[in-house]
Amino acid sequence: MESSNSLPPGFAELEPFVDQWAISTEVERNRVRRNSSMEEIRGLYKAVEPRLSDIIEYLNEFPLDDMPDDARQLLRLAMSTMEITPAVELYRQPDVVHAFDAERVEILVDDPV
Amino acid sequence: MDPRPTNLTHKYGMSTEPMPLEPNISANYFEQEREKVFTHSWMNIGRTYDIPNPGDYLVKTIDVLRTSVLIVRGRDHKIRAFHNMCRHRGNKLTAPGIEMGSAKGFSCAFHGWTYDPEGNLVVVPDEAEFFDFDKCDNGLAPIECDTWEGFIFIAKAPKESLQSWLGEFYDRFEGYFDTPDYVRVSYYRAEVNANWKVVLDAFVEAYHAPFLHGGAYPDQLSWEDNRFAHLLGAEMFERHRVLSIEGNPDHDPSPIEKHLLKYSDQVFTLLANPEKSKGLPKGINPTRDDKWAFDINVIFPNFYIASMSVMPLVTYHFWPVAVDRTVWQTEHYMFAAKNAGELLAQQYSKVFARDVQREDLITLENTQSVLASGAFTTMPLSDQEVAVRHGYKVVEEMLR
Ligand code: FES
Ligand SMILES: [Fe+2]
Repeated sequence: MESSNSLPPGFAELEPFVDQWAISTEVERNRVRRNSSMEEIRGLYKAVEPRLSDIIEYLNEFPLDDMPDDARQLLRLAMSTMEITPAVELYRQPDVVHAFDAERVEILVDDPV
Repeated sequence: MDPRPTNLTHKYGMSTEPMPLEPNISANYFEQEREKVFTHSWMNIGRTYDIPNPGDYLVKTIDVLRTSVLIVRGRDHKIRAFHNMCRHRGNKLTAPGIEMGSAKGFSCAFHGWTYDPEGNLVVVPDEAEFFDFDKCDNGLAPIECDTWEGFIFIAKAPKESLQSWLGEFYDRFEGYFDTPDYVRVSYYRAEVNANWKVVLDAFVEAYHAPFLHGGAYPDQLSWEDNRFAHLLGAEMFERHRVLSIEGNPDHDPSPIEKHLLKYSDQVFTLLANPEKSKGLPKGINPTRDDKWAFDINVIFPNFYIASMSVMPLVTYHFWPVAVDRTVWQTEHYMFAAKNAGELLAQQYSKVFARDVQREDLITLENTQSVLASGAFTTMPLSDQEVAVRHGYKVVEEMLR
């Protein structure tokens, strides 16, 4: 599990999502998505989507390779939101509706954030 | 009138008869493909930018050639390819699972024979015990290797140069792909129980898009103006082929897309981008149409380059393993993300593409598993599946 550093000032309302969704790799984000309920997934989407532009504007102030810990946690939440967006906007269920076994697809480029 | 091309199958001189299923299920046919197609084909195994420095190397298992290939940049900066096999008793020089690295030389883990980055044998422990032995005659076995547009190609027993093999493609892209600025942001790979042509075929027509991907692409590939995702363009060459795919210029962005589009112009789901369809080399958006979404350039036999309006380079590889087994791989290249907004747009694009590709992949084993049932021995192909038909024709001619 990721450590639960608190988020930057102004993003406190996203704190409840940190434990489950502040994840640094795509492999793990995809696994958590597939093992979460639609309620949990929609919870993250509904909290982050309206604030995504604010989040990006805040994070764009920092170089990607030198972000304070609290900003990095916020970036991880936003990265998980990218992972679950198709579940909410397109498939309306956690995983792709009719798809090849996800565990059989190797994810070979996955730089941790 | 619909400006989209019609009558493609006739135009390229092909029969309109249903195509036989035999080439996808016959072990004998597969052995013939191995001997007459793959043994003589130039195949891409990576990017020159993967191995920028002397001693940098790539390792690629090529089952259809029954070998592993070691590609190394020498101290003279030249890229060479070798069978990844020790001259002594044949041990592979790299440890299992290693796909790239950097080394001063290659030392065999069995008895310590050591080769330099140019493939010469330089150390043989207890050399005096060997008979009439000269290290100079016992280097690694080379494989033909050449580069084009930043891609490294190898061939086991080529009958022509890479330039000649590439034919119509050779000068079509004018260096567009030959840049270190395209960064590999994703690499997905899966081994699927299906013939390599069944796998390739699933990625060389848009006919399936409104059905298989109807949920993923609500309005981008199929909309009132192009309900069945008809091709924007198609060219069938001697061996290779190109398809141009059209995107809806009036795609209605989703809430997340709307945020991302403010901070990045590389959002994968915005397929048609008139801004980015102009001023390109003649081989990119060859139809010169504003609704251009992407081109599929199939470089025979098992490699394809997709250039997209929203992403400069996407590659696919289809590596035959057995008559009913194939390693599928795809890589996306984008400009390096300079900030979090661009990184998030990249990640959104990667995830979207990965999910859609899992839709493509599920058809493969479902198809292969019943192809030999005998219920049908042929498949009827539409004019929109002209590139599928062309692929079988090219292989068939090479086996003759
Ligand atoms: S097999 Fe390589 S040193 Fe013996
Ligand atoms: Fe597809």
